Amino acid sequence: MLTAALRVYHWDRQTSSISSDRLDVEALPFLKRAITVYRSRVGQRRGEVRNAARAGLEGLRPDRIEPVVKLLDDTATYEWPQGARQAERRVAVFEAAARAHPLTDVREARQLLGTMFDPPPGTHDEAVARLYADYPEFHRLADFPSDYTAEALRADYDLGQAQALLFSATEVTVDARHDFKHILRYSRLARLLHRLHRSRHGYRFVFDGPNSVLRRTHAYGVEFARFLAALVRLRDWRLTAEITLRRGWRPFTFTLSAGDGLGAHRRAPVLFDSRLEEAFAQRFGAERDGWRLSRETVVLETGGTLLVPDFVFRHADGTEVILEIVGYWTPEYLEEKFRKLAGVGGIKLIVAVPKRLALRAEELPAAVLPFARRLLLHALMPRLEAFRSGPAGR
Amino acid sequence: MAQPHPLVFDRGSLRLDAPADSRVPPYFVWDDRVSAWRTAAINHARLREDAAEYRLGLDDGAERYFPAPALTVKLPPLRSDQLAAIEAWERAGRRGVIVKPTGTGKTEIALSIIARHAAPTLVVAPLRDLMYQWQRRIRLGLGFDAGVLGDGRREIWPITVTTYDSAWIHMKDIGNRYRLIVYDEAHHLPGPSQHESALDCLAPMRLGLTATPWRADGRDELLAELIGPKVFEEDLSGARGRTVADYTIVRVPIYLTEPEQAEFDKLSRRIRAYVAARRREERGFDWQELARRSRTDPEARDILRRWRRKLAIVNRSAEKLRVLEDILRLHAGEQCVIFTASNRMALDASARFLLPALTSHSDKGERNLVLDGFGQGTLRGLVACEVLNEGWDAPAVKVGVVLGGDRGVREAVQRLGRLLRKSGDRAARLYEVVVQETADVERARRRGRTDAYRRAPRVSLGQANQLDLF
Repeated sequence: MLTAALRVYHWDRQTSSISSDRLDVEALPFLKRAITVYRSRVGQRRGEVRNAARAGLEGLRPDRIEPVVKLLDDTATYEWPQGARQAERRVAVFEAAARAHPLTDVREARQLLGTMFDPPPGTHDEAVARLYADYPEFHRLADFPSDYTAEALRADYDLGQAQALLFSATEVTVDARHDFKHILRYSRLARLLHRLHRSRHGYRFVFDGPNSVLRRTHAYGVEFARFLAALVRLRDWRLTAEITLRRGWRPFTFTLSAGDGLGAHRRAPVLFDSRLEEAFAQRFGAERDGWRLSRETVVLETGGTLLVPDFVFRHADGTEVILEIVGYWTPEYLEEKFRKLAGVGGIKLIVAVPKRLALRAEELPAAVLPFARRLLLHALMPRLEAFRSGPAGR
Repeated sequence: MAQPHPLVFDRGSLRLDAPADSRVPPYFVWDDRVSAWRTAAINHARLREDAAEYRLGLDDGAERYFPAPALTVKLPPLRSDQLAAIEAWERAGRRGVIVKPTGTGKTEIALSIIARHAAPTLVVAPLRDLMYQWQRRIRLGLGFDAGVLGDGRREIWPITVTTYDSAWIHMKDIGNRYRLIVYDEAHHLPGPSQHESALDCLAPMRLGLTATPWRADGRDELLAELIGPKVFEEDLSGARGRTVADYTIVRVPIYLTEPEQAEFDKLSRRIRAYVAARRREERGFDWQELARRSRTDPEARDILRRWRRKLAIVNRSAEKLRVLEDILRLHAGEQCVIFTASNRMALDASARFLLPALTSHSDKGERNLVLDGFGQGTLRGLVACEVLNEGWDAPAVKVGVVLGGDRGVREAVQRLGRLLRKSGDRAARLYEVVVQETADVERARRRGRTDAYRRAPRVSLGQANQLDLF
């Protein structure tokens, strides 16, 4: 991730809007040159490599140079004497020197260094680098990935700048039409809280953190940035954030959407449970005993929280039952879930839980469907039918 | 009273699970995201007092303090001024700021407070290096191995030391584990975001330590709110001569070498030409404008780079090392601390005279090794870049050398303070090696404005040599 000091952004006073910097196609030759520097200088010291990369980037807009070098440096692997050994050796030299304090004669000093380092350093700069080989400046470049392209660097830059701008956000709004489940999962992983509003075509999520109701705080900037890295892999979203660059400054509006293509080069989202769901959908078929299956179409609100079912079953007679697969759970968790649902009313829910964990519960409600490796149709169908006859599944 | 409502610590805040129509103190806010009341963690003690008045039953699960740390206390007896400071803090309800000059035993005050309450404690220091120093002092004085939070480490233990930045990031997760929080160099606390660590923490006992409580941005009142009122104050003039030794400042003017001067002049000419050309187009052109322009304009960036190169020439001037050589010879029998303005200069001096350097890259092991060695006398000198700038507890160093540096008035006070430790009756000596007619001189001038500096006698290197004959 880029640091706040390396951000590059553009603002427009008239519209009070701000955008993070992006590299255009003209930048690619410079990026290629800088990548070549890293590939060709394996074995050299970090300071030298970075300076050579800076020279290779000369001609790029000046403020883009440092962030690009940072991204390259993060991609590279460096080597240095690990652990406390180097420092201990160094202090041993100093202690030896202290016995002859003050050691003002240069030759004497070099001789003493020679007893610790072989061959002894020939120049002053060499002496500094040998004594302090564990300092980042003097680390040696060990490897640079051969498949890292200028396009990948450009994409990392574009996303990195957008993330870094979010460090100054106090809240983030996302309008989405799809992938609600992933949006919520990602936000939970990033430890954000949300408010939810229904919009014309989907939902509006407003994300911030616990303390945000007490004061305007930038404390969740890193969480927003982490969340964005996941969000860019989804489709059809639009993000809005208020950016306050400095206390007392007027806030600027930062907008991003799936159409900006920040996640274009990244792999499609890894669905946590997609294989299980897909296999089941295939076995169920288009229709079975009057039930039709659809995937992730309905979003249910229970209080301020969101329930995104994995499947919705609709019977010809109008009965609608939703099924949610829960990966990890406890009896208390289920109880809480059903309690919340009871408060809302009118929702028919089956929760599929891994069998291995189901053993912990003494008695499971009828609406809980334990499964081992896959969801079994013969276990599911009676539970669906129960909803048609009775008013509720419990 | 009604059925008690659960109160929990929720990532830097207190969450009260009570209905929306409950009567709660005004500092609570209804949080519809979680359907509960919320307030900053700092309000915990206040809430416990207010609960009765609001007829609010609390099922208080917010505190999750560490058990009292098992201490083996080995502290020297306190002086009367230290005892008075502790007494004042206790009387103020164990919340407040103690203002005492550098070198008058603020750390011991904090250690003895930790010891007398056997309190799980979080110590917040402005720099990594001071954090490690606190860890050492806690080990030596309280016989307790304190955890380190920050600098890539995550040791959250009954006594933990951390930095202001790390405290801001992590307090959300640990703000309910400590009964006492100590802010060292507390004038740093009211910073734009850093003050939030004090809000996110519910510790009822709060102690701030500082030598210079003023801030340029006038956010001092915040200190009272976040830590407590100023409970004790002692200024440098009171401390001088009693707990600190007298000191002499020797300013050593140096000149750039010929090639250095030639490059320096060439850079200056180029920069002046550029600025003059800009000013013809735009009358108000200044450095700020140059910095702004350098983001997009390669020529402006080039000018800025030349300017930095100029600074580097001054900071790394070869002559500085030569003068340092003289000073080291002059004080061959004494330990010496050298302050530098850049990491690079510190490493240069270190490699040239084989003296240990402490910089922002030195880790805890090396720092302890070096400071212990220096304390025992097996190391005779020490080069420090910025890292020891505040409140370093030097073992009675008599010779200090400043090789350039630029951090304003407060730093000058504290830099001096470190050297002013009384031991025996010999005065401390501070050498200031200044490159003539450059920014270095300007910095020295600014330093001269500080109170302590004004009263210090000034002698030349020649006079200094004569003094040493006596």
